[in-house]
Amino acid sequence: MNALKTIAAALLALFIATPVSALSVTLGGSADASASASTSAGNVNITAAIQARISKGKDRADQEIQRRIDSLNDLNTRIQAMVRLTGQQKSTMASEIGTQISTLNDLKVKIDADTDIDTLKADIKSITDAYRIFMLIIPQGRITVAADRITDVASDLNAFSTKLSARISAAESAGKDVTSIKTTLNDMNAKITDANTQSSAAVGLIGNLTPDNGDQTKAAANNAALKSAHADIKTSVQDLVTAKQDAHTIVKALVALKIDVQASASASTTTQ
Amino acid sequence: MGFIVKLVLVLAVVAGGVWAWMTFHQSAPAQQPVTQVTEPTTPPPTTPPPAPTDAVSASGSSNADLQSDLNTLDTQVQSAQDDSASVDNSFNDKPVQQTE
Repeated sequence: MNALKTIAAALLALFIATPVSALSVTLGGSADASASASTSAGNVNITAAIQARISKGKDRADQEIQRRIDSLNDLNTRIQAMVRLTGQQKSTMASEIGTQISTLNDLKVKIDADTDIDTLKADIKSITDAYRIFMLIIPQGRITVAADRITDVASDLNAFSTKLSARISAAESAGKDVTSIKTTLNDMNAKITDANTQSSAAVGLIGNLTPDNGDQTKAAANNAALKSAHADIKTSVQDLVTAKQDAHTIVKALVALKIDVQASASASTTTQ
Repeated sequence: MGFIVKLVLVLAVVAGGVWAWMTFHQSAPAQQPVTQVTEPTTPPPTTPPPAPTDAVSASGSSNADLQSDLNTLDTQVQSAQDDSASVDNSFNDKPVQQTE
């Protein structure tokens, strides 16, 4: 719980730290655009080619910006569905995501108004270099959301395990052989524990990541941490799946023993 | 005849008076909270803490309850898998390409 709050705070800090005005990057390249044309017809052709490239570049940039905005909106939806954050924390993060989206919209307006291909190229490059939406923010946010869900599901599985344990004890007291069922329950509990361990590890790995701002070493370290956390999340979810399968197996075995308790959840058992 | 009319009038006046008195005293308490309620010293929380997820622990432990819990857990684990898949997708996104 505290770890999740910590990572949420770190994610929020990341939003704040992400550059919001790194748009004025000068573009290089397009040397061919300045190629000397010896005839007026040649100049016309070059100008038309440059305009076509500008138009194509703007279309691509708009699509990429929209893709990021869609991902940020999706992330916000997932954050709002988290169960272990307070409403205030969710509200603050939603506000920061809104700021990011607003900044991207401003970038789109600037790109749409670009008339120089070098400036346009710089602005397009800034979509990835300055914002790191896909490189850091989205993966980090989604890992945080997934970890929150894992913790929640593991909690419910744990509660269910307690119920199953009581039922197994009741069956044992009634003289039933529950050796196999106990083994399955032990496996279920081990998987739940490991799911929590892996989830916490994932959160710990990404908690302090910040944008690399062009630092290749830091970018590589961020990427490695995200991938490792990703692996932890996958392992954790697989643990939950196995634990759930164990639960199914146990319930099926308990039902086969033909021992039930009253729906009133009293301690008494009845043999059917 | 005249006596009866006077009697009806008197009764009507008396009844009207009683009705007015009762109406006044019935409405008066309803108005009191407006002037007597004191402002709370601290504002109520605008963002309540997240509700506990006790979908499993709140139910019983009969066979039917266990089966119901399993259905709940199936849904929850599926949600966890969906979230994990969204993490997968976030790693599959490609940065913008500059093809010139």
